[in-house]
Amino acid sequence: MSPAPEGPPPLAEDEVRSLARLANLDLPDDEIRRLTGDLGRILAYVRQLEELDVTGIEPTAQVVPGFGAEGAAGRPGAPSVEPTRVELRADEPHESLPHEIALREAPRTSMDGFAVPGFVEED
Amino acid sequence: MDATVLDRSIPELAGLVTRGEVSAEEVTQASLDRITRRDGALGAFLTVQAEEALAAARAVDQKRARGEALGPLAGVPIGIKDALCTRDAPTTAGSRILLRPASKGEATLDPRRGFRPPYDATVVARLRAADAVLVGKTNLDEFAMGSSNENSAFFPARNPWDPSRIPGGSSGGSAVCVAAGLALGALGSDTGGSIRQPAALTGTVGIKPTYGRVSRYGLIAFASSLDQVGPFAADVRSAARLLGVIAGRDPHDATSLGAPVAAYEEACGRDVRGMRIGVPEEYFAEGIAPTVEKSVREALAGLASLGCELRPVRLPHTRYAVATYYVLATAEASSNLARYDGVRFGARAEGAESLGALYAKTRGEGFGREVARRIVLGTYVLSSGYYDAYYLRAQRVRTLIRRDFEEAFREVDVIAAPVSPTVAFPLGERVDDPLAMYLADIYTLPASLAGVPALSVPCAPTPAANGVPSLPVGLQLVGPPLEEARLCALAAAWEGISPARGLRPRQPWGLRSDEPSYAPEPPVSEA
Repeated sequence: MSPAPEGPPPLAEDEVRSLARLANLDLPDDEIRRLTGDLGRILAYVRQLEELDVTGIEPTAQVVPGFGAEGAAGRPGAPSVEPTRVELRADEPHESLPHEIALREAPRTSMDGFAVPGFVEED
Repeated sequence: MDATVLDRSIPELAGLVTRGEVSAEEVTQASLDRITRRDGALGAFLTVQAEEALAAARAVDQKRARGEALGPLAGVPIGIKDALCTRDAPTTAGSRILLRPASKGEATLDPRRGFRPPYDATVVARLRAADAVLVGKTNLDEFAMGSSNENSAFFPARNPWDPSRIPGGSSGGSAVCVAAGLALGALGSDTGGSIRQPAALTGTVGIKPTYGRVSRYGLIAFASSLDQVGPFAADVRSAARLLGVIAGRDPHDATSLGAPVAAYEEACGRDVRGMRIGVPEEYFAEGIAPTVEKSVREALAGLASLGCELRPVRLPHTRYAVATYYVLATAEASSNLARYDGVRFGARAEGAESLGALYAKTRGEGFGREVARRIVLGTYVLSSGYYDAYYLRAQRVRTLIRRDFEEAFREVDVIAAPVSPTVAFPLGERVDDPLAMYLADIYTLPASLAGVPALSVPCAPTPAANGVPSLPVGLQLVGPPLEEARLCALAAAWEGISPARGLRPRQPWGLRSDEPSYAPEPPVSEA
């Protein structure tokens, strides 16, 4: 479980602060400090993945057949029930949420829309 | 009416209602009464929809009176994990961020002010169509992130076997709801063990179906390549009936599978002689409590006594499952949870002068500590420079974990293993050590990463010792994709000879005399 020497550096508080900013999370300094410690420990544990040689191993993004996961069905040991390929629906218009329902849960509305602070002047 | 009708199985109760031997309204009232009496000490429900439930029950009774056929869940009270959308009824995901802003004089933290979805999740709609009665929304770890239910923004759920202990998570409220007999069944969601682990720790049956077997439409997303909805019940047949109702293709979820839904309930009672059961030694490694190992090994001997053949199997990448999962699940979560921004629904921070500040302040105030931790971790593993080292590598290791199962299922029909390395632990024991909490998911994560079906069925509870009461232990059964019926058959056969059969917590509603009451106000009806 020892981290590989060429691995990414341990997280610094400033790095966590900028990650929180990227994630749109305004967190107080004591939370950033705490988070820095927690993430450092978690990442040190996660580094054990570096022990494995994954050269030539395809990444799994999805396990559903038809979504780039054709592996399971058809191989030896495959299920007795074959999953069918996912079918896409016809590209036809269908009903969507009525306007007033879509706005019902908004904390603030204005002129039949969602109200937000002005942002045009922002960079 | 005799409230013990709530201690029947789901097929039995639905039969009683269908034959008119008991009315759905009486059953529903009995469930609501039990919630009022017992749930103050347990915290299984965040909100209870009493009026809506009674109205739904009366509609079932009227349907019967008109001579119409009733559905397979006629009059059966069900709890719904509060990560599932229920039309017009508060849905919080256990988070502050889905609460509408409080008016003056309102409590800031009241789940009754939760987001009111404009539609039902597909699984919820299917339960209603089967004439089930939805009594309320059950407690959970915030956005289903946790293994103890302590990450609920509102209050923790407690284990009915010992209210000083956690019920497991994230679907803790659903497990408690069934274990304490508040309702006959419940729905949960399982991303890395969130159905199986609480089922094991509360002595209930919980099924995580094959990824794609059950629609995720209307399930508040946590990690979309892993999330799956599944049932809880007190016995295997009841859980099988629920699964049969919710499973199947849904045009609203492109990842739902079109394969025919198997006859899960009918599979219970099927002969299991000759079934080849794989026992992975990786699941009995360092860290498992001796009492848990003993109970699970006794269950394995029980399967052998039923005529099953036990065989050792190897799942060599098991030890990498925790690291793999906490990279992939947090990456997906950081993306999925970007939608909570204070604009279209839920909470909104006051006093933000720019759009960016509105997002950051709303999210900083609205998300709890564990959710923030996972969002930041997910942001890190997806950031350029680290993407290959963490995210892409974890996806490749996920392939290795999947292949472990493919290899194993060439040799065996089912894999049998523990669910959790320990019994339910005391509240507060692990809250400050997220890594310790993650490590305890080691036995449930691999099946989630592989997308294969798995369930937890009770085996012998641990003996009471040193002031610790007897506590439930779960046996995990894992099958190849879409072989839920095989798992039900084996689980039902085991259940028939299990020492845990019919065991219920003796005083699920009672606090010990030295326990402080933690929930000052019991959840109240929406009406």
